[in-house]
Amino acid sequence: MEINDFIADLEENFDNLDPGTLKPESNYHEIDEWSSMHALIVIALADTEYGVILTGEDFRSTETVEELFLLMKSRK
Amino acid sequence: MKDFSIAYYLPKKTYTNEEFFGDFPDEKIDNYLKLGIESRHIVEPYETASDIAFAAAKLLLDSDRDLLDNVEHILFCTQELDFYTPSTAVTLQHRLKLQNNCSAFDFNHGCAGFTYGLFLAKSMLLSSKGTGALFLTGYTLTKVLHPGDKSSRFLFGDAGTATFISQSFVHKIGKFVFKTYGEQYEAIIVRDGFARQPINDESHRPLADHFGNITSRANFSMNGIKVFTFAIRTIPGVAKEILKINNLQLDQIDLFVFHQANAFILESLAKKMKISKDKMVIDLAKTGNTGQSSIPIVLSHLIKEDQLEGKIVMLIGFGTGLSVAGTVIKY
Repeated sequence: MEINDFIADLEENFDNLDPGTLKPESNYHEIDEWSSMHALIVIALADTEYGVILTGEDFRSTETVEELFLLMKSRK
Repeated sequence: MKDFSIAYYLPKKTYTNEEFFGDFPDEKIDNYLKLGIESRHIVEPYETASDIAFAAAKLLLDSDRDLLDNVEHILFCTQELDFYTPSTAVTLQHRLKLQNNCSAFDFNHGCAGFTYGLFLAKSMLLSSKGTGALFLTGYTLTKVLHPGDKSSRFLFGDAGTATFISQSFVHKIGKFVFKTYGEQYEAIIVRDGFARQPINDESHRPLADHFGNITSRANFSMNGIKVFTFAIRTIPGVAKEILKINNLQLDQIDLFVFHQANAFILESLAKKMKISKDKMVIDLAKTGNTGQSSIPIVLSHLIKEDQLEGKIVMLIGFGTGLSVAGTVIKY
């Protein structure tokens, strides 16, 4: 489970993000128009691709892509 | 007389994506495309759930007059009753000019309501001499949506359906699996305005969620993330249980007709359950999420297109409760 793969997955699943936009230190809440749909996409990605369960609370307790990634990794 | 037939009614008024993005100009279209909805139908304030269920039942009975004398059970699934008492199903028996030799009652369920009703109809037909059951649904959720609840106003539409299930069809309906997670009863709820909490000074105070959706205690409120997580975590296991108790393998299922919550949930489930896209039916572009009416609308389209003949179809309803109910039909 590598952070670069996770970032690539996020960029692929968020239709309006160009590859290379996200960095580990990016605050993902500041993605243009971060919405509940983005949250659902991340939950689905975590579940189907990484076998990790995320909740709404996890989006409130993390800010950067790296924090979210480390949280997911800790649940692997 | 057909042994299983369905009709549905959609209110005249529509609410298109164009109108939605006109009402919420700051919303980005891209964020909504994955939900797979283009338009929905909205009841007028004077139209009740029983009115749209009646309209659907009229369409069904007019298409096959033989049904009239064969309705010995009337079930009505709705959250919006006409009266405190009597049950709304008895008024429908009268309005539809159905015979007196019948049972008639309402039950309150949401998105799992169709599979619940199928279970009830099957059980009732197996334990009576009844030749058929008329199962009606009436979904008028848009009446309780807060105007500022963007997500719900995009997702939900109103619809009434009528399904006739004959005694001879009962053996084609499989065994059922149910799940109830009452500890999550607040995930989908209208809090105030009923027995537990009558309307009070706080009921209409606007409440905003993390994503800027506005609702109130007197309006419908859904924790979309919680419900989504619940669905992708629970439904694959329920599907396995349904297969097991019906002695089936996953590859024997020709079609998966799940509650049409939104296209993204259904696609995520297909991916997780390793179901090919052509087997997972997604059909909500013109109606949105119509609660307990969504599965019968899809089935009626499939019957019309002659796509059900000889097929084994898995049905799973899921939603408010939180609840899940599923089975298979061998059409």
